[in-house]
Amino acid sequence: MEAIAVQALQGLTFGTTLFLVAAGLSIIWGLMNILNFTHGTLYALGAYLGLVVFGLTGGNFWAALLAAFVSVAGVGAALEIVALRRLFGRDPLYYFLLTFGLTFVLTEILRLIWGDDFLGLPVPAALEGSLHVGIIFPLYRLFVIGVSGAVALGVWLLLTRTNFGLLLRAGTQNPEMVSVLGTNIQTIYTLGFALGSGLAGLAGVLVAPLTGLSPQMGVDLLLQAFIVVIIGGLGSFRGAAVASLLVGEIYAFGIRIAPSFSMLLIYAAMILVLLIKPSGLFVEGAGREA
Amino acid sequence: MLVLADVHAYYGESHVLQGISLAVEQGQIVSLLGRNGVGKTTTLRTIMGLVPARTGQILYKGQSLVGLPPHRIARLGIQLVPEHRGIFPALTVRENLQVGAAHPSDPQRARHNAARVFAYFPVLRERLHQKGGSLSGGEQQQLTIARALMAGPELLLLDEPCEGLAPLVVRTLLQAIRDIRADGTTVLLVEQNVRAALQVADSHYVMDKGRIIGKFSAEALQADEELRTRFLGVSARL
Repeated sequence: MEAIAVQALQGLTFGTTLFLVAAGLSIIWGLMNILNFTHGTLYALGAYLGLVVFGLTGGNFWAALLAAFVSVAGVGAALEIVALRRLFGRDPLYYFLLTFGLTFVLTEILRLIWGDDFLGLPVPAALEGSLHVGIIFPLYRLFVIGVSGAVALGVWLLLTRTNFGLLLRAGTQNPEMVSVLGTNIQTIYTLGFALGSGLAGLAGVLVAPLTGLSPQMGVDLLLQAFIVVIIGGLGSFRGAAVASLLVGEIYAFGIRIAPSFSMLLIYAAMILVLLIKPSGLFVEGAGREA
Repeated sequence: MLVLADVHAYYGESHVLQGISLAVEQGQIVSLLGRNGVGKTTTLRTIMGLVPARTGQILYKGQSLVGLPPHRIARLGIQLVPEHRGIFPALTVRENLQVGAAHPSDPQRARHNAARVFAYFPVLRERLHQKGGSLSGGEQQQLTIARALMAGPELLLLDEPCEGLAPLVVRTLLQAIRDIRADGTTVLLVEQNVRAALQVADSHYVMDKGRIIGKFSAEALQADEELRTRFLGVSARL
């Protein structure tokens, strides 16, 4: 029983952080029709920037989280303005090639600055140790669940309660109409891309104390986040939330039951969803052309 | 208010607009008539900046619109209600209207219109919390016009608002179009439904193969059977 509870919490830790990455990916995919391969590298960049700020501020983890979000959002906005915007209206294949290529460039930059070795980001002192209430569970993992949950709630409020969120959701469904109605859709694209990137950066810092940092730390996670977006439904925030938790739990229990097959179980879940409901569990971008 | 002078536009290689010239006076309802595929929709999309004008002038209150992106044109006071409605299906009716009100060209007009849209289209008030995609075709059409009005336009471009709608709904829409004009919004109306256009518009441009054939009064169109048959596909008096 205790083992199951611990495993469920492990799954929740993975699921909630996966959600931060997948939500950003889903926002960008839904809004701009871009399968953003740089997303995993932006996640790694966030972790490294967090590490730097953590050091500079004498171990202020909140500052590391905030700095990673803000600066990676800034990098995302710059990427959108400098590179992606130039491909506007072209075949999605060009976006694929560009973001794929940028991934290599960014990964090399990380490698040049911080090297290939695994680096560690310490767990903040206040969050060391474990919780003992029937089960034993590391405090830091609970903190990760709490912060990810709070950020998810914040993003949900942003999307549903603010003018920007409204325009972003409208842009996901019909960008041309948004611009006809007087909103510069290009600005919404830039801000949406920045938001998605920032979330990936934030997730990088949160996960770094658990996994360590390496330039390739985002590769596996990106794949899992893609699977989440496919299961959840293109551009659907709710879908990404449900699918992240699902994938997190499948992975956590899979590791316990059959460690070498845990990834395979996730693929199986994706294939199952694709067979039963090809558009994903939730579809919110319905009505969009092409 | 709006003047097009010798406007040419292309879709890829195809020369869709071959020298469009027309004028819309403030406070008027002007219709643009013609058979399917002669370039009526393209004319509206070119005014709105969605299709680039290759050559020619488009002047709105004396200012050139050529080369401006759609959102800038919208903020000058023009709104396009597209043919296939373009609602946001996953947003509620209220949210659809809020997108219209996000960056109004004239906040005072927008507020005035916001107070009026439910008088034009009472059904929208009942549907306020329903998803746009769940509305009937007629309700969606009313929603797109209402949404455009939320931006406070002075000139409304309507692309076949009556297409595919039941006669009763058409009557509601035509009355709304008259009311909208009475409240001070100028209308350029593209229609296949010649009968509907004759009922509301003050004057009529007839288009054929990317060109304007001429400008006619309702009486002149009624009198000229050959013109109607040849360019509008209706021989009977309307």
